[in-house]
Amino acid sequence: MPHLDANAELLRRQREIVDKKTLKKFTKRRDLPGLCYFFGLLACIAGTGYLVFLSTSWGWVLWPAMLLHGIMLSHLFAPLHETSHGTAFRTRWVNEAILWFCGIVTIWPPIYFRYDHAGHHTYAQEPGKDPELVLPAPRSLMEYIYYVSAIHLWIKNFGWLFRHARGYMHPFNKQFVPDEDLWRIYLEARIMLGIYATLIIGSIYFQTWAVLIYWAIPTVIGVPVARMLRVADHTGCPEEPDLHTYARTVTTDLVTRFFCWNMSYHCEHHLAPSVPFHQLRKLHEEVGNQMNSVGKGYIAVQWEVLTKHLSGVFPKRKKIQPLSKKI
Amino acid sequence: MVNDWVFAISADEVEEEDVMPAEIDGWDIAIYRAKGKFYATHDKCTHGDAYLSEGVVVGEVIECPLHQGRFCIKTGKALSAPVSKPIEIFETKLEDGKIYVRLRET
Ligand code: FES
Repeated sequence: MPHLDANAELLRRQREIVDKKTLKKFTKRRDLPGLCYFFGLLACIAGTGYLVFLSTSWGWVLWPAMLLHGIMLSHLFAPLHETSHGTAFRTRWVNEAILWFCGIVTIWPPIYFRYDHAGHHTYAQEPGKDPELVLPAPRSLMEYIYYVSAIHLWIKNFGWLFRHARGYMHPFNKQFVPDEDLWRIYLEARIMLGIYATLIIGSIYFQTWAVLIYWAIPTVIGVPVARMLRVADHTGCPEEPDLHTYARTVTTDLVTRFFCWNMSYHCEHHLAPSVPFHQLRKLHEEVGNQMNSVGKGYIAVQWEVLTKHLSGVFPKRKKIQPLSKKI
Repeated sequence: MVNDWVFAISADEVEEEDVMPAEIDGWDIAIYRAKGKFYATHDKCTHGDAYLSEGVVVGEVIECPLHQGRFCIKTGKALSAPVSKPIEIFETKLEDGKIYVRLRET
């Protein structure tokens, strides 16, 4: 089995900031907060879906309605992320059911995402190692637009699905997955593509636009908002493994925290991924003064990235070392 | 010392639904208390270099502190990614408020 030396170091650094006893106060698992957040989000999605329904006979009004609906749908990434950590719920089957639901709707293969995201937590902000490194330096305006537009996301996610479905995994991605679990990831891709193919064939057979206007188009046009939230997590922070500085904790309002499941406390999340989303605020009150709490909102951070952390309009060549051993 | 019962930790040091580390004959062991019973496993996660005794016990499951891989503390079975290999388990017994562990030949 691969040996992750980086991990012991990561935990040692975590202990320098917060001891096990203090952390334990925050790691208790509960079902209720996650259920309230999840069904709250589903209610918003149902509401915007109803707006789409009302707008179908209003010509161009359909497009802003689909955009709003897509923004709501894109926030399903938050429960996908939290359930991939397994911290969202105490009841395991609820966690796994919601992980799968969100993965299918947002087109993220959930089991593979769990491995990929483990790699991110081990190697956050290390170019060439972090599988989820967002816009590494030097970054340009074109790369920012490309990232936020989410074109790269669809290429990456469908790339995973099609490669995995035919029993092949890119060597970079394979570094994060033990050989004995590859079959599970290949099967997951086949199941997901099977579901999407059924939806397409069903739509053609029944001659309905429903899948397109309630899900596919809104998902594509709404996801840039979720991408912008992700830019705020790390982009422009030092690209070195320092728990204090390699992420940002953003100051934001209750509504945004509801939609992003408290991932605005991103430093605290990286400090202790075992802490469920509903306890991150309390952990922030305990350790926030030691972390990179920037005291800015999401819009101010976007502005900071655009004005301070870009170097030109067009991309420059980057030097990155690929990770050589399997983790 | 293999195959003998060896003192690991006082029972009152391990709270309900919690885990504590114990070093026994140079072995890193994690001692758990779940639903009133005591369990022991190797302390090192089979995925990476993390100590399960730093993790979170949920029912009869230990969740690794680093990537939240999960093992059943009764059977050692790997329950969810990113762990896929089981963790070694050891027998425990409680006597006079002390927990003893029986290590095996490997
Ligand atoms: S080190 Fe335990 S799950 Fe990764």
